[in-house]
Amino acid sequence: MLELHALRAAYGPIEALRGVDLEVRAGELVCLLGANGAGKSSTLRAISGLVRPTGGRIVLDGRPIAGLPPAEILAAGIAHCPEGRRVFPYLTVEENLAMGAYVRRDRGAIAADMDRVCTHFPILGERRRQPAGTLSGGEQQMLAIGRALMARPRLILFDEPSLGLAPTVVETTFGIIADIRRQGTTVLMVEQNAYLALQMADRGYVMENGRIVLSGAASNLLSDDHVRRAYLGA
Amino acid sequence: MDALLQHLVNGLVLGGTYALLGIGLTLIFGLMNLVNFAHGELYTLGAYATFAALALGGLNFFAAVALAIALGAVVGAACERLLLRPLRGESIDTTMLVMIGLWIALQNGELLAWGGVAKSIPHPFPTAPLTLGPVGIAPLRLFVMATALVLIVAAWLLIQRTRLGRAMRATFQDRETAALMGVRIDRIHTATFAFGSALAAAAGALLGPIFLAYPSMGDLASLKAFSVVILGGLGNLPGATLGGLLLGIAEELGAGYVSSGYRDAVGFVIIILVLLFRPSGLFTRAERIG
Amino acid sequence: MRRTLGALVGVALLALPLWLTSAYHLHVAIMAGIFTILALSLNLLLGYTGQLSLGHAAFFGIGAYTSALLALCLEWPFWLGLPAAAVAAGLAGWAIGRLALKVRGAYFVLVTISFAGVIALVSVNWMELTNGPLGLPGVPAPSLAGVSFRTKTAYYYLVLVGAAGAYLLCRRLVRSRVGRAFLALRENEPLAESVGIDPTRTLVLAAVVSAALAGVAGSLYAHYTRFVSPEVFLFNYTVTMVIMVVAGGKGTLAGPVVGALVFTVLPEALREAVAWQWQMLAYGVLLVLLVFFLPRGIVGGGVAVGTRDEGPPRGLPAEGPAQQRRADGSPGPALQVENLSADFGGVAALADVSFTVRPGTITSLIGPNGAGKTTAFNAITGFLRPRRGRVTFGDASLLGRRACDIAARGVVRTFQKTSVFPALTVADNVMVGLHLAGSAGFAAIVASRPRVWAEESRLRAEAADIVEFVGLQHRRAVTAGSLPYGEQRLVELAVALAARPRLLLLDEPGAGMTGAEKERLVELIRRLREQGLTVLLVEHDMRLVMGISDTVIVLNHGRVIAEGPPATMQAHPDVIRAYLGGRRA
Repeated sequence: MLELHALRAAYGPIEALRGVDLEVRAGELVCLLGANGAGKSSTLRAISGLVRPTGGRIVLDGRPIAGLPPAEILAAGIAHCPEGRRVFPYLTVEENLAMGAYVRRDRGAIAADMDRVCTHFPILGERRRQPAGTLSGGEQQMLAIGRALMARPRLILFDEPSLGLAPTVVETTFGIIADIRRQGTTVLMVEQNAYLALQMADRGYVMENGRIVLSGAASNLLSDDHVRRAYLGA
Repeated sequence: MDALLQHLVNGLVLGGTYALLGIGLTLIFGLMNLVNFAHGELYTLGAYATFAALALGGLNFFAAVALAIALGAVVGAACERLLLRPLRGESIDTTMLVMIGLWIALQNGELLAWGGVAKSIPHPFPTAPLTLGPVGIAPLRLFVMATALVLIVAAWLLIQRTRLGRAMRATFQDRETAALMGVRIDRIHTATFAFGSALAAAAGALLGPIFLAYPSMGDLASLKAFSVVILGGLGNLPGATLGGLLLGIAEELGAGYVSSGYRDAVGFVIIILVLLFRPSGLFTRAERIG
Repeated sequence: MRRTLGALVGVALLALPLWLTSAYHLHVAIMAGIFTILALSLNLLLGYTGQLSLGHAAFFGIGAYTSALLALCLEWPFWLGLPAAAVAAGLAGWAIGRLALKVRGAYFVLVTISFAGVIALVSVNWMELTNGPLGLPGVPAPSLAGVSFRTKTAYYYLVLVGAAGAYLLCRRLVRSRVGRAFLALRENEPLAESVGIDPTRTLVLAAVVSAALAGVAGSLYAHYTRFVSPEVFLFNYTVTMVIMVVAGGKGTLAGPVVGALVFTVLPEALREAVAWQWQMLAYGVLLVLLVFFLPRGIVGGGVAVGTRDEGPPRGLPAEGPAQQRRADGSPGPALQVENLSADFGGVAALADVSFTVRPGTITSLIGPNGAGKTTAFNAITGFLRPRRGRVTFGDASLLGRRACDIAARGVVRTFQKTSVFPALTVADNVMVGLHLAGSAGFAAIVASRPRVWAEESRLRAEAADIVEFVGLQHRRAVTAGSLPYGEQRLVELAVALAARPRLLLLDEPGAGMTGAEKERLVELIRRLREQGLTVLLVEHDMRLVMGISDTVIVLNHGRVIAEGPPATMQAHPDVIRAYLGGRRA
């Protein structure tokens, strides 16, 4: 479904991605691991259009999408749930969800989707008219996920969903992600919490210094010492 | 007591238009991080446009005001596209200088076009004041206050209830995530600048008939707009509204009870005091942009 | 070459009245001179410290009124009135400078405008003092030993002396340690603070000098036109000043002079042909065009700081810089952090963090994303106010002190994102770092005392050593902003070393570096440890960390979860769990 070939990207003079090759097949849950600064977030940002790649290709169902603006990426069916949740603090829960559907024009369906999200995540339904900044960390994560769902994506990119959350909340969050995947949406997830991620995933990639250094089925990676070494040095 | 009430009423009339100026500027300053020194010139433009529409175009008063507002929006959008968009990403000093240049150019353009003598803008309202209990208010001023109120409410509704308004607020609160949601930040900038300029032009079109139109009328208006923005907090719409009303009342009370010569100093003093003691504005507890 | 040009200009200026015989032309020359002083004064703030003041007409006016009133009411001679005008304006500048403590950028501009507005209103309304809009006529011309300066020729020479004096003062200031501090604040304020430059004092100094100069111009103006009215506060004057500085070239010395000349002569020359409204309109358009097409102004150079050619670096031994200064030879004291708690972004970023950094060691602070590492750095070095805790360096407590004070105690940090002074050369970057190693103050600099120049030479030699230590001697005259990324990080390190740290905190020094660059970095850090420097390091590259550290401290969720030698940390179950997550049974 989604393929990255030799993808390069830079922030000014700093090369963040030095040739990334990866692939996500429809219906999979793929996780992208690696130490801080390895380029995981940059990979997602290049896919969703926040960062313009400087080389290589991104192909979605055969169609090249590298360098397109976020509006078009959303229209193509990819939603990005950013690192640190990034809900709009002074917009209400409802308005945040509405922003998720910003590129959509089908009013009736948007309203129906909003109801569905609020039913699926009852807390969001309860706090519908509250400013998002008053929600707890876990609730904000739910809102961020709900907001991504509002775009009716076929592929969701999750950037460190467990960041800054208490362990029980992390479990709930991962449960939600697993649910989403079960219902047919493809997932590409960046996580620092490698073991938890690998336990949910079909396949995984490990990045270092802007490149993929390890890849394979999740079960194999789980038992591979390489992962530990990639994170903590030899 | 009656005098006090009278001052309050006059202050509200002024304050309503200051609120219009302030709302426009707080959106521009807050969203685009742009010190818009040319804001007052849109105010001047609004007044002169009304004058031109009436004197040269023969339109009726209300149509002239509406035209002035529309013109403000168009000029604002043009400025943003032509001057500001190419400078996106430059330091705030650079954009400040450009806006100062625009300010000087526009003001002297007005001077050349209309001459330095103040112009009186005709209006259809009778001059005899209406008496509402202990206070008297000229029908023109009542119209100004009512229109200002309507425009303020319209601005609020735009920001709070429309998709565009939501996008503006989202961009203000988290620009990158707004872009991620598909918001075209470029267009939001243009829309914001146009909107703010339209409100400034509205203020000019409304106050022009009360105070005469002259080329440098925008200078003080600019400063007052800035003090309203600083009072209310950057990007804070309710703050700007309240701040505008407060400034208008403070000026009237100051002119009435202290000294009319120092009337305009109220705005300056506010800027200095607030930035000294509460740089984030008096009403910061309230939400920002909407 | 430069000297002969300067001499020629000097002679031409002195001889001007000989071939400009018409009174009108001399008038233009005098006004040009007064505006030169004004433009130079505004340039100090706008060009060098980077703060735009749109209220400069206030200082000009205060100077004019002070001098005029003293002459009219107290019959003070001009020669006393002028310094008094400078003092009065300088005091106003001091007030503005103190305000600048709190606000920068756009807000500072607004404060200056407001200030000017209030002063203008006072001058119009305080009739008893200023005679309101009618102004003060009959201000006497200066006289010296019976000779009156009434004639235009005589006044021309007076103004020439004033302008030359202002230029000389600015030149000396700008090329000194103080001038470098101005530029440092403009280019990168946090970095300037981290090497001990006090933003408050420096900005206030700039504001006072700038205002005082404008006051001098005001006094000269008052005694020339012999009439002062609130018109001096007209915004037109400020606008003209800004155009002169920006069009001439802000941040240069010649720029304001050129700008003043052009924009005094040009309007007068065009006066017959073109009405002044058109001129002002043209000014506005010109300003916009300048910003787009000629942002550096007519003079267009970069920053002219310390352009004395220092020649090749002296042949001093290539030991590290630390060696020369550690006279006692021993490493510095230990850093003790106890129960440090801090909030950042509404979250408890650090909770009860305690650790010790032993002197003469390399300690690394690691932890997953969001663990609080940079927050800890910020709290220790004064860039963030912690909620609770104690931080002591030897016997000195660091908590609650300002960043520049902490740097003065020998605790210097680098920043996560590359932090250099982009418009300065590599050598000048390091010279800024040596700010605290010098002591030349404003008075000594202006008087051009010999010890000031001796100190400059000494500092230049030291800077050359440091540049050589990090291996950038072939780049020492290159502007830091144009260097490739890896070399910029070395400049950053050099600047930090120049501040004579006893404890060096490096925030992700290896981020974005290639493998080879990282090896060079490791080499440098090892050499620093050999010379007794204590290093605290935050890094994500585990190979680098594990290879270089004596001790590793692991943070997670704002708490210390483990501490010990690298090998132990790599196998420590809590650390593994923090980074990789727990394995479910």
